[in-house]
Amino acid sequence: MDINNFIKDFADQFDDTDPEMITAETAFHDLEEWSSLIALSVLNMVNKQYGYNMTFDEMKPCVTVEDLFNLIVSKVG
Amino acid sequence: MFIDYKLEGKYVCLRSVTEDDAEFILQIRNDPQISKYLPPLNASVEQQQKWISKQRSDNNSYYFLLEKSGGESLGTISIYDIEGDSAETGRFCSFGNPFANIEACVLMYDFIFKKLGLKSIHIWVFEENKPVLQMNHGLGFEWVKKKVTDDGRDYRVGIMTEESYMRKRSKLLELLQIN
Repeated sequence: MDINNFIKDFADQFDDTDPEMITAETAFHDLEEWSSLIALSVLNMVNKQYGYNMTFDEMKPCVTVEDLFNLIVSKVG
Repeated sequence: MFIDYKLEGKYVCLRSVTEDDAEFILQIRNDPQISKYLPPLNASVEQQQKWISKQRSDNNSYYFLLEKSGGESLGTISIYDIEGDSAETGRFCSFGNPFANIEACVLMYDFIFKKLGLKSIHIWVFEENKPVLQMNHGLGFEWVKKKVTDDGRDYRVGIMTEESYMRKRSKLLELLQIN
């Protein structure tokens, strides 16, 4: 798994946020556009593209995009 | 107006607010984080109970409580100003997770379009409330006007027709993992 691909897939879930603003270090809950619907879209994307059915309870304590990526790597390798 | 049954979902159900919910409603509406874009309710529990009692007999509105299956109160959502085949929605605030929040919207929109037979919904959202602007666009609203309140705050008016909601509905159910 490549973190740059994951960052791009993550950024694709947003409508108005400039993809350039999203990096591995981005605290995604703090993004202006972050919403319930985007949270569900990210979970759906992880399930479909990375084959891991991440729960919201697992996502909640993740702070950065890299935290999410590392969680997925730890589950699917 | 009220319904004497629950709109049941996978993660949450909606039921009509009763006078017994007054204290919870004051608590969530005055929570600075959850309700930061809603006007605070400067009312006593008794005043809020009277308001709910009046709302229940108002033919032009529904006021729902979001409830978990165990009965835990999560938030509120409302339909009001029902006029012709259109209504406004709002008063949405919730302690729930994204699954509960989005499903609450789907349950209410199904009720509006399928049960009440209305054809469109309108909302207004403060310009700075980016998460709710994004969420409502994703739910099927189109922003049709930009306006300014009397005290100078920018807001947008959005409309969702039954057709635009139905185009989004199956995707929303997929995101909610409801088959």
